[in-house]
Amino acid sequence: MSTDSTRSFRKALFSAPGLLWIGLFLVLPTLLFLPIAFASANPYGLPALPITLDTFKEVVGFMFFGWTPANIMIVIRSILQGLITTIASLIVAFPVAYFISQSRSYLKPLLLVLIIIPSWTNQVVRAYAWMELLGPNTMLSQLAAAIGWIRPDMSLYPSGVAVLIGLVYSYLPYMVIPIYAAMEGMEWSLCEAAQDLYASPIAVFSRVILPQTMGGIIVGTILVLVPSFSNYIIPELMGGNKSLMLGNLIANQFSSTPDWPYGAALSVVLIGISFILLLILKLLTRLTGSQEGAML
Amino acid sequence: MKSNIYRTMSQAFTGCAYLFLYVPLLLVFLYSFAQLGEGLSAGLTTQWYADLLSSADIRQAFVTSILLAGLSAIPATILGTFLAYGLSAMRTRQRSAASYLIYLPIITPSIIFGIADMIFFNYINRYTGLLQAGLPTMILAHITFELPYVALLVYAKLRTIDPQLIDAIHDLYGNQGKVLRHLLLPVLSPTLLGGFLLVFTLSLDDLVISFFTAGPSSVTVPIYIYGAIAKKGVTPEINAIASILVLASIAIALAGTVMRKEVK
Repeated sequence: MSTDSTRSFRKALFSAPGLLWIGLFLVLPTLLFLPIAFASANPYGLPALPITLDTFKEVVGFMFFGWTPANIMIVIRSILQGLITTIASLIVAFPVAYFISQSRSYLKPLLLVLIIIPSWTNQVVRAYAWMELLGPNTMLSQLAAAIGWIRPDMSLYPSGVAVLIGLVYSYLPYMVIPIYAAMEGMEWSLCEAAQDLYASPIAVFSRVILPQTMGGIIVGTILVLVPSFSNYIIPELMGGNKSLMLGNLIANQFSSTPDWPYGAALSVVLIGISFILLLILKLLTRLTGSQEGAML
Repeated sequence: MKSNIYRTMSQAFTGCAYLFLYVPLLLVFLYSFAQLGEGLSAGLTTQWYADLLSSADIRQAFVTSILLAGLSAIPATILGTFLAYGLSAMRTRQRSAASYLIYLPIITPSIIFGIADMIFFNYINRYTGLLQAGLPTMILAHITFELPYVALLVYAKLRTIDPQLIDAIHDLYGNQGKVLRHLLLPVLSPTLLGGFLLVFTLSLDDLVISFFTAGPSSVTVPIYIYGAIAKKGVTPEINAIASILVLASIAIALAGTVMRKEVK
């Protein structure tokens, strides 16, 4: 018995290098944000003494000339960006997942891999592809001008709509796959039973299909919400100068005009919001009693 | 009758979704053969690909990207496989504690990941002179985000192995080495190769983590494309580089997926 447990302990030790690696190169570096956020910035924007709360005052909008709502607006806009992208992906992904789950079994692997393939491409290229499609003098821009949505000499990008299209395009596969997986495990006979009992299509959807696919929807939301909330590449390339997001603000503090303490404080805010969003989703998982599909 | 209407609607909708996914990428590919300022009807040209080959910067970017992907995917596959093997011996409670650490690199926003590592390497460099920003720092960061994917794939495969098979080998006086050689390696090798190819692609495509951990002389293909778009907007040259990157990523990741599914 004891040889068995020493053997499994020795086996478990194989995990140590990988776990320590993540600790050393991700957890420890992320913890560095905290001390830096409470430092002052030297003339080069690098952290220096004394310890101060000024960075956090700046984060909530107290600049040296008074209070501005700019940062709060950026945070709200970033959260909205995440929520709208998630909802839009969900609306597109649900029928697609349904269609795949209803198709012939020999077609399913092909249909699935076709959904996954675009997620293997570089995100700048994906944004670039849409810049090409939505640019001036393209079919889509001319169509939008013809129905009076934009002026004839304008293009569909840069704009908020372009950012949304770029984000949904990037994250759609991550929503389709978990919902499809949930549908594969569904009892479809319950739908027929509900129909036999004269349930309306809406009732069948909301009381039979939705509860059984909730686990997949939540996993998909976990995979889409936080990345689209923190994405700054697509807003930067496709949104023009009006769509500054929290991610852009952070990136600026560490590249063009350095201010590490301010950037670190903003990073703490971004991590905090991501953590709260994940916590809400974890609570939802428990409330709906659905399986945590992605957990070990 | 009614369900037929739903069926047709869901078919049409799904068809549009597939078009939505593929038309943009196809256009990038097609326009890489277009002449400057002309549509595709004006005739095709391979001029942009010839330009790429003659540009030393772009050749260097491809070399850097491939070195980064290869030199990070090999250690990530080894570390991830060991991690998965250890997980399979853990009790449920230990395993769920470890799983938080394993999922962390996957759910951490890449901007946080990249900047945290940039700061970390910067301090190490300042106090020890080691790890100046460049290819080595990018490799360390890439190993970190790749190894969880390998660990999860290998762990899923390990769970399909009947533990009685391992007991049987031990009963027949086979040691751990025999278990490894005659059971684990043959069963796991398609997963290991598939996992390696998948994380190779993830590394090839990464922009944000590479961007913040890179040095001035370690420009990867995605960093090059990002800079070129910011400077010049849409140009046929970018279409050509992007097409090569997209085709390479899809081919490698597809090979990895086929590999993993082969023995099932």
